[in-house]
Amino acid sequence: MKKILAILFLGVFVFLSTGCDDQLDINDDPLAATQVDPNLLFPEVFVNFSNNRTIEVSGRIGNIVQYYEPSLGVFGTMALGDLGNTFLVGNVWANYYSTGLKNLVLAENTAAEQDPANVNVIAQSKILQAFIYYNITCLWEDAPFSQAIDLEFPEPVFDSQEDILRGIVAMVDEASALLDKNPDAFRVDTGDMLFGGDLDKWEMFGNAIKLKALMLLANKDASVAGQIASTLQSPIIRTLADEAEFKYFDAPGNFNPLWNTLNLFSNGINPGYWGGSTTFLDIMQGTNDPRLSTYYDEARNLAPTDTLIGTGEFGPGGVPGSFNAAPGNSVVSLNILRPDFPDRYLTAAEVVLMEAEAIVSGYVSGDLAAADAAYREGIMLSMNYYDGKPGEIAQEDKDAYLASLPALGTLSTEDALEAIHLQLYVHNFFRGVEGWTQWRRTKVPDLVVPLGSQVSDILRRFFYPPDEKGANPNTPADLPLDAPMWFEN
Amino acid sequence: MKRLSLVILLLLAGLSWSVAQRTITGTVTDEAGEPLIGASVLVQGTTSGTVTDLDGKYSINVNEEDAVLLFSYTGFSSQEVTVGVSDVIDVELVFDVLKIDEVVVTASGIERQKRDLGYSVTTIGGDELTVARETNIVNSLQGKTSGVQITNQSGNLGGSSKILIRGINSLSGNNNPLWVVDGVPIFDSNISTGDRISGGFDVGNRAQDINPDDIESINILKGAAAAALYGSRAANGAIIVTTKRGKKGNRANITFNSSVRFDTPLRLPDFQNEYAQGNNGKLNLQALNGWGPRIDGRTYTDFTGEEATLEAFPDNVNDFYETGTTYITNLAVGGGNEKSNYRFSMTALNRTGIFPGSELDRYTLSFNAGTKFDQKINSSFGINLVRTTSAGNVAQGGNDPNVLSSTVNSFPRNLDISKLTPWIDESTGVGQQLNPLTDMTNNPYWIANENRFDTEVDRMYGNFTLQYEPVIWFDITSRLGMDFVVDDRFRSNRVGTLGRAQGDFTTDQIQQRQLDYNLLATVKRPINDDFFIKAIVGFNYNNRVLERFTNFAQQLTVEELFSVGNVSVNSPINDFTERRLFGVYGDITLSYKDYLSLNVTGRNDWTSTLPIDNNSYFYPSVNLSFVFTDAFNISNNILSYGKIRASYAQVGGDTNPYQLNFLYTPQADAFGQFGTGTQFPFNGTLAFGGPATIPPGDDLLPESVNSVEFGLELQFFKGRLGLDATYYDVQTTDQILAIAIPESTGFNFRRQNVGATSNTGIELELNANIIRTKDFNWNSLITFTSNRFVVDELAPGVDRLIVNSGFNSLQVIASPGEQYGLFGNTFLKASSDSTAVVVNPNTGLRQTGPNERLGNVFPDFVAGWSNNLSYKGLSLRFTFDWRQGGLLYSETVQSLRASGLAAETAVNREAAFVDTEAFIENPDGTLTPNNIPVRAEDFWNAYSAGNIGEGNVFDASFIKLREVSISYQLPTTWLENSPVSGLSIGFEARNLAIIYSAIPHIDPETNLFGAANDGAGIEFNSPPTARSLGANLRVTF
Repeated sequence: MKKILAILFLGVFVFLSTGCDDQLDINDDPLAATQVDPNLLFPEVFVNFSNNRTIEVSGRIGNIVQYYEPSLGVFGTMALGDLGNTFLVGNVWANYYSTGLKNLVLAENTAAEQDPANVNVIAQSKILQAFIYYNITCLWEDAPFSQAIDLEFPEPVFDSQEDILRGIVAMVDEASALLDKNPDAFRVDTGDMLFGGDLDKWEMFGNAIKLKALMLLANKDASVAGQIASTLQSPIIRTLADEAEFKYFDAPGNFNPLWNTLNLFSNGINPGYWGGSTTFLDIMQGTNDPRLSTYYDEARNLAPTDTLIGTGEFGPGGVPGSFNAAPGNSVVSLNILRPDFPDRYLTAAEVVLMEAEAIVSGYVSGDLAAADAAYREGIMLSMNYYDGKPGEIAQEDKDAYLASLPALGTLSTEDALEAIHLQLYVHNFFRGVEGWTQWRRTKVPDLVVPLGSQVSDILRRFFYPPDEKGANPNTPADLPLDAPMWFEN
Repeated sequence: MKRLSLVILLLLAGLSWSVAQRTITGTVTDEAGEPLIGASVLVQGTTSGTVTDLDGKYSINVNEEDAVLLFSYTGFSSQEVTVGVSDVIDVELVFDVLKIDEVVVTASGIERQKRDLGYSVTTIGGDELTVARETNIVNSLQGKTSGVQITNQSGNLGGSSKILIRGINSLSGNNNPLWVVDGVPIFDSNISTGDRISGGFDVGNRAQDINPDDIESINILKGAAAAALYGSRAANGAIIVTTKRGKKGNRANITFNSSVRFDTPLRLPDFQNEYAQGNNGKLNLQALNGWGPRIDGRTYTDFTGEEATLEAFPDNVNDFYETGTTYITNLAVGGGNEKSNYRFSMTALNRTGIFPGSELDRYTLSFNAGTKFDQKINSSFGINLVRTTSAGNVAQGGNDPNVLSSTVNSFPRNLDISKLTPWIDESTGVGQQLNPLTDMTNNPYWIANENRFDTEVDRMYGNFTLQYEPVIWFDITSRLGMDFVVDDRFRSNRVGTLGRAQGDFTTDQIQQRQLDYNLLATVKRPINDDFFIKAIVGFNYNNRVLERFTNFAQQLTVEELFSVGNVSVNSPINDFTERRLFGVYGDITLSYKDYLSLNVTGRNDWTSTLPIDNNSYFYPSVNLSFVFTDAFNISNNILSYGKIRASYAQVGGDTNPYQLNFLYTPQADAFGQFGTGTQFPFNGTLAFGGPATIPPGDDLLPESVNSVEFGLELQFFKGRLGLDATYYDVQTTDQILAIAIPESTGFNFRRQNVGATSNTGIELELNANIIRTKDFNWNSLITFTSNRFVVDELAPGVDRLIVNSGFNSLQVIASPGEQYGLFGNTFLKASSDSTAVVVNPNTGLRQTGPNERLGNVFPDFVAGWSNNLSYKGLSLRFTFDWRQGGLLYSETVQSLRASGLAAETAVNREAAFVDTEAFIENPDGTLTPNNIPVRAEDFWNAYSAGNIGEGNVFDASFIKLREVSISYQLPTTWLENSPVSGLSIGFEARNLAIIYSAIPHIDPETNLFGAANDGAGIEFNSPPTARSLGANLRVTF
């Protein structure tokens, strides 16, 4: 017995004296890594960012600029200035900062630590960061930028919108200068879900972001005209092939979340969740815009199994704020709400239409004929996008539409600008941040304050999420939700 | 050399015991002269003892004339008798309501006299648990002890129950007490399959695997003091379960205990039965609501396409539910002799639920045995094998077609549920859904019968103990415990399910293993006539592993073929964690004259989860018990017993595994609002993400819980009235917490030592023997607990910590100086008067205001009242539960009202009315009473809007009649010539009635977050709870 006891005690003693630390050294997670290739970090950014931009942003704030009138409050009470949307603003903020920007900065820092540094990874990271910051400032105006995603600053200060926009321009310039297009140079390629590692396209994407930031700045500071001109001279997205878009797939697990909402809740049809809005329908019908039947389905009865009425009538749209999907209303088409519809980050039509605007505004040299050419090219790019896709527009319809539009040269400068701005509005259909931002910049078209709105004008901004307010004393007080942003005129 | 002489001394002592033996015999009776069967007779200071037989007689050998015999019997005061010259000693034991001499099992299976304890312990006897047996042991503690808050989480079969002792200690969410069975810790995990908010399945907390029929007693050690010897995990209290063992006697003790019960929904919503489905008074078969036309007997085409009369079916919801059945059958065989004991028990629990197709079967085999060998070695072991299978649990939450309770509650009043059958047509070889409720809502029978959620849990837990007792005052015990849980789950959505049209299935395999080893040496001996010492030193090793593998398979090629090769997409996830701990502990108790007792403990832990250089921490406790009535010889007819106790304890705590490094984790999916998220690999592309939490670095310190407790135990009128009162103050500091940091830093949290919380509270137990005559006896126990939990401090600059996040902007938040608060959107208030609700001046309807604190989620107090009345062989027991205060947000009520189905929505349905409790805010800021008439449909849609928490929040107070049982014990004279030695029959009922509740339509006792989480205050389409009525038969042979 003594022996057994002695062994037991000895065992304990051995455990404690020698084996203890070894025995306790089991705290390394076998299912996680301490270093990863940037090709593995970028996909996390793209997919989360696009999931957010589609269902959380475009699907819930597109009614601010009255692209649709939803039938359910969850798809649109933000437009009424409903302060209850804390999860909406919180999800967007968290997604952009603590998923998107964080992983991009981690990739950038890792690339900078290499010897020599992986300059392309740094450049790609910076360009995508610039795009995320552009989205952020368009939603909140002032936001953390210069001190964000830097552990030296536990409570980042909020930079002004002007500083952020100028910072975005500088960030793109810095990135472009870093690019090493030597085919052997390391880059994010397998994880590059936009361009598959094509650095020329990254450069064009960067310049297009820069152009959009400059156009916002130009509203307040005409002295950026020179930068706009040089940006338009540089490699920039001008063709559909060069567009920056994140592709979804018609495969479970890879569906566009907007369509997946229909898939999960209404068996793949749009029962009026995103229904017709009088504002948008009136414009499209008034101009005989052929994109109407790409964007919308003809009016139908509410029962989803009902076939289209097929009269060519799109029926009445819901009045903004009515949250109405009465039988007979048209609904947003599955051409747009389809499983593999991409998240379009930056389109050629935007760039070319802005070029037309820059000419008319005198930011760049050129006459009204040149502006008109760009205007028509931009519209054509907007319509051609659907070639070979659901919602394709017949060439004769495109031609007839363009023919029906007066040449910019026949219009006053003001009317010419308005015509371009209206095209930007129509082009940006169901693109949440883009549509809202360009409307705030241009105020085209006229919108009506929705029924039941808790603010007296069209919504201009998100409020800061409670989580950031709670943790960051530098968060400024919220302005009224209809207070214009700095860039607005 | 010294050791050798000790052995020799022992041998001599053994020799000396073998001389001068004599046999004492006698009878042990109660005051009425009835023999007490199975009373224990022990020669004091030895391990030699026996029990009385069926006639109350005993026979025992003693060595000396001045040997002292100790007679004891559960429920009676023990008695010591010194052996004199007589060989016959008859003893009459006095009935003792309050069990002063009760032995309680504290840490590591250490038995102590309750009177010596300096802290609060509640003991619940096994007989309390087998009356109206609960299928989840946690629920059977309701109302029977103070200091404990128990919340049933759902009405699912095998659903979980949350137990919280003295409130929340840690903001990190590890607040469940430690469960210990026969000295060995076991898991009480509650792991949900699926997200609780978007359609999760609550599979129950695993303490429910403990079989009530096998329990001898449960000791609830409430404070940190009681648990210092168990280490960190017992900082939240410990529940010490002692299982039954074979009793000494020549006959096998055979018990057969069988119950049959029938379950019906305890509470279903009150529906209106006047209006059909539709909107704006017009019939719309695609709307599952009650805003349609008056049900007027018109002819219409119903949802199946048939001509039908528009009539109300007031019972359609009730008729959907079935009567659940519960059969519990236990057979136990036990016995033993002077040296050995043996017990085998098998239990079958077979249930069907109130949802069609729901069932749960649990089979428990329990075996234990022990033997005392000649070499002064005792050895015993116990093994429990538990197999639980269940099918047809329903999901709770939202965004999932399988949330059956919300579908059932949305039945239009004009729905004839007989038309829901049949629900499937398989004539084509592929199942086609028939008669769906709408084009978007599945036939509920399809959900119940075709979409599966099956679980299969196999568990083995047990212990092996070897004890060496060379001398009567010294022993060494080695105890090995293990617990294996294999939990396999399967859920499927059949192809053709609306919302999951392509079909999918999830397999979820969870394995948990725990190994626990204790080695302890105990010395107990008198120092002199007045002082007695008991000292323990011990060593503890604990290792826990969790492994999980989950696969989500989508788009089935062949329906109902659940092979991963039969789907388009498989999304597997795996998980693994392991943690290890060593502890060394000591425990010294010094007693003076049996009325003053001082206990000091200390423990040092080394844990794998803290930084290697900082992984050791020590924590002490000290407690004192003083029986002042004995010390001052107070003994009169009024005050018969009085004890004060005081305790201070500190418990250190570690954290979860793998929290220390900056880790990149492979991603399985990416979030999408409304459940639309995507999976990785995304079109073949993999993704990793950096951590959400900044790791703490190497200077992380262990957590520290410091508790102070004072208690008073008084007994009056010879023990007929007793009071046990406790005040406690528990401070938790250096919490290891992931505190929210600005997300603009890129991270959501930083893990560090922060925060301080405190729980202060009062616990009262009032025990009264109200009536006591020879035949009639009425005992009553009132328990009362009031705990105030306050967050004293978060990190500098942090003013809120989200404890849990619900939906529709509902959150449970901790903020300094406050209790846990439920935050949600409020009604918009006037800018000049924050109490005045203002309506939209155009519509007269309420609007959404800012997100604010709505109130506390925890109750102000909980109380229980249990009674035991007996008249001869007839006994009646009943227990009431009372919870006062706290809030509950009810999604069920929100839906019922917004959809026009709740009874109150029919009031004023056809006339416009004014929301007179609200105001109109004029442009100049003044308020005028609202005078804008609105329609009922608009009013309820605004008032009970899903995104306004305030309209759907209620006082969560309730009073429930928890259990009732009536049993009749046949007089033994009737059974004299049969092999049966005892027979009782009874009626039993559980969860019988809600006596009071401020919440309409639902059982107020529910919670979305489940047992392993501290979120509270939110109900989200919980399945209804059941009332259970039945009969019981108990036979002993």
